[in-house]
Amino acid sequence: MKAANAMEILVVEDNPQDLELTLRALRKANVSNRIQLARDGAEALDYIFCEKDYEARRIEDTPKLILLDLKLPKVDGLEVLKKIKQDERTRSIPVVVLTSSKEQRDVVESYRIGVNSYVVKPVDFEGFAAAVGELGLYWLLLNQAPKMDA
Amino acid sequence: MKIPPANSPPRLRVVAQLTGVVSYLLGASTLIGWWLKIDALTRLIPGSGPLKPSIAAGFFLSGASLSLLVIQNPGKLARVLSAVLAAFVTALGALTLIEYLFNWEIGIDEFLVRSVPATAGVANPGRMLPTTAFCFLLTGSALLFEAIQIRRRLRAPIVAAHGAVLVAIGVLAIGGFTLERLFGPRWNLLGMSLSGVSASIGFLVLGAGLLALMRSQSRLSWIVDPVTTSGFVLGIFAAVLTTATAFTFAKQMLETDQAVGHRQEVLREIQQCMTGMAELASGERVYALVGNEALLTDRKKTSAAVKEDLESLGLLTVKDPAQQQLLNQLRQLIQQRIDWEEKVITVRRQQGEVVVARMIGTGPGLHLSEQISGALKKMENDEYQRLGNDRARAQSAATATFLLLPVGVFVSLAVLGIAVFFLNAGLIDRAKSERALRESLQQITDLQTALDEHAIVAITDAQGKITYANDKFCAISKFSREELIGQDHRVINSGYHPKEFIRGLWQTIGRGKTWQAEMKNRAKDGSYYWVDTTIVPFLTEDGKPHHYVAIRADITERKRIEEEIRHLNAELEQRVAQRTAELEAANKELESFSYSVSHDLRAPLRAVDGFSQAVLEDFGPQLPEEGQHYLQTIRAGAQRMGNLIDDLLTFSRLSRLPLDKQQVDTGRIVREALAELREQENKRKIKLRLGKLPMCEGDPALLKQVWLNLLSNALKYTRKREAARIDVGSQSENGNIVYFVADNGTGFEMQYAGKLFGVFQRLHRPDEFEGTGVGLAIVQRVVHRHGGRVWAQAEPDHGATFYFTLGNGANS
Repeated sequence: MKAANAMEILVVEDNPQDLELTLRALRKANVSNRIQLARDGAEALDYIFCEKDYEARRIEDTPKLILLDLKLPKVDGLEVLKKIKQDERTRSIPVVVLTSSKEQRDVVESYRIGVNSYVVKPVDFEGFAAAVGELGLYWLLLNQAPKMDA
Repeated sequence: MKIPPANSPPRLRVVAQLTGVVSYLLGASTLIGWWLKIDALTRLIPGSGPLKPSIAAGFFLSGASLSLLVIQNPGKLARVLSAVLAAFVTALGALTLIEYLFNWEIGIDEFLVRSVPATAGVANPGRMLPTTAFCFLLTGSALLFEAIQIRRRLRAPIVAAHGAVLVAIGVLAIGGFTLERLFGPRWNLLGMSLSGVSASIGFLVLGAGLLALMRSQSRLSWIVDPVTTSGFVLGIFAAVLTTATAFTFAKQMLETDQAVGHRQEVLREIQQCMTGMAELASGERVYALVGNEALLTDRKKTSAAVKEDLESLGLLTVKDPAQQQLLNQLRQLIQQRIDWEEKVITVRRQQGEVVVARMIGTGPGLHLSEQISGALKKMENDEYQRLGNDRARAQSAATATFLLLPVGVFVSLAVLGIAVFFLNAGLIDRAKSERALRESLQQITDLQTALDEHAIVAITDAQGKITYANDKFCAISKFSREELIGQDHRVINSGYHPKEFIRGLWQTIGRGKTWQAEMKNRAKDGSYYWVDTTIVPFLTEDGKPHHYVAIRADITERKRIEEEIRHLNAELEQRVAQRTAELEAANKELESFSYSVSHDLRAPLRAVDGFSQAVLEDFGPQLPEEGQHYLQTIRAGAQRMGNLIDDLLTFSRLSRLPLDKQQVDTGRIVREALAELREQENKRKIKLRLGKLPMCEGDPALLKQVWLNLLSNALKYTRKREAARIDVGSQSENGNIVYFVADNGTGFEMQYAGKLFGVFQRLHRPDEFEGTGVGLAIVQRVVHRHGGRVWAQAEPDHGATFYFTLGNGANS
């Protein structure tokens, strides 16, 4: 299961409808990776840094991709992004921000902190594909080869 | 501000004291000499005559009186004692003069010492000369005036003049004495004897003492110019010299006159003697001839008269040794002759005329007579010769007197006259400079009056003690002048200024620099006032501050107004800050509002749109066509609402974002905007004309939005035209650049022009032309934020033209 762990995608999203649409998009894009959900910023951080409920996890087993909503309860998306990009161990994880609007402020701030890509909701397949393609992750996430599982 | 003159030099005081001591030691030692009969002590100069006891007493009293006066700040006792002593001296002089004038004998001369050795030809051996008495009168009165402190205006010149006169008399007397010693008695112009010189030295010392006393009290300053002074001195000297010379010649004339009288007496005696002898001789001869006894009756008397004449001659010519010798011969000869005559008479009486005749013929009688007559003749001749000499001398003295006296007087007059006119010239100059001084003083007084009217003035000494305060100072500080004088400025210190401020003040004025600042002071009643202060230091010759003049202006009212303005400003600033904070808060609220609008308002729309699409994708084939259409309509509605939200957010963002003004290449952003728009409209045939588009100053992103909106409108509303035509350009209007976008599109009715720029205002139905109605509102908002104006000109079916400016100075 080590390989599967390594291939997981962390989706951070509080809106159940948005989440459903996101998951649908991923499914339609044939992304078969294990998907880990976090319903707010705090949970996302716990998962990433292996704290509280996720103490058992090893921090070295970083998710392959994080899809991050900006407007989140508790800790907002930009804060989560900042924490990830400031930590030596998690800095290299690709983060794609999912945003509701083209609010200039959010875009500028996200890129400043070091976001890898930016996708406007609702997550349509084309938008998602373009973002992942930019990251060079596309073929790792899409149509994953069965041998990796073995 | 003049520095008061320094106290009298102590050296002069010592000199004055010394003269006093010398004088009374001289007097005392002389008196002791008289009482103890020590001759040496009574003579000041060895070999001179003794100093008379009365003179010695005068010197003793004068010296003591002077010494008492010279004591620093003499007390009342010393003054009274000194006055008593001076009164004695004055009395001594005055009484002696009275003795001379009225020929009285009061007895003051022998009061102290009775046995003064008599001098030949002097009536009162103990009495001083009138000149000496006069000198004592001068000395005593001067000391008395000084001791009883008569009015200073009188005292100073009198005392000084008496001192000067005493010195002058002393100098003249000693000078005369020296001349006599050097050139002989004729040159002793004042006829001073040796004892007179001793007294003169005493008076010289006393006179010098009086002058030193005056000088030590700073009462002897001479301001008459040297030429005038020397003129007066020369004139007086010439007058004294003239008087002295006249006196000397008069004395000589008197002496020669006496000598002439004396000679005539001698001659008369000689002639009487001759006559007597002739009488005796003739009597003897006649008796020898006639023998008449009656002829011999007067003979004894005649011979006695001759002898008497001889005795008189002896006395008269006692100072003439040649005549005395002749007289001695004569005496013998006459005796021999008389003896011979007696013998002849006796022989005639006893032996008769024949024997006598023989005796006369052979005897020595005739020879004796010839000898006597020869000697008398010689004496007579000698006397005549001397008489001639005396007469000639008297003549020459008279001539000299008559010549010299007027010349001397005229010379004195001339010199004194010159001195008087010099003095007058000096006084005229002085009066002139005094007038000039008065005028400049008046000017200064005027200036001061004016200054006092205007400013608060104070003068302090180098230590900061107030020495002058004008009325305004008193009025503003509410202190009286008496309360201010002698105090320093701490009495009005408000404590408002820090120590460094005051220190800076002193450092500046201490260096001789003018200090200027605004100061807060405290009045006597505790109220405060502000003054604009200028302190000007005045320096002594060696550059140290001597006093300071402070000139102040009352600026309390100005300060109050300033304070009020400052207060109002602060209030205003606070209000502005408050308003700004409120505005900022409102902005922030608006921002978070629009933020949540952009995020949260959209979430349900996303769900509507997303799930509609999901239904279409997943179950599309199972739905009837109508159902699919409904879902499409739902999606279009959700998307349109999304667009509306986006436009609204854009609009509100444009109002909030700060302007980033810079030089903008209008032509470039217009071409960029067109390029973006043409991508969407590439199938259409559009005739586009780009005119002149000058650079302008503004926010490039916002201006691009303006051009995008205007151009997209133009494209949109010309969509129905076969040949769409769009003109973009600019024109100048009142120095401002007016940009425009004109099209030949649908246009609109001008009556609705007022609604054009409102948010969500549309003049066309959505099925005609799509749009949210926010585009022109955004245009207007951006143009207004640039200080410009936007307006439109249109006609239905003939197109519309939109104009805008970017405000005054916004264009370049």
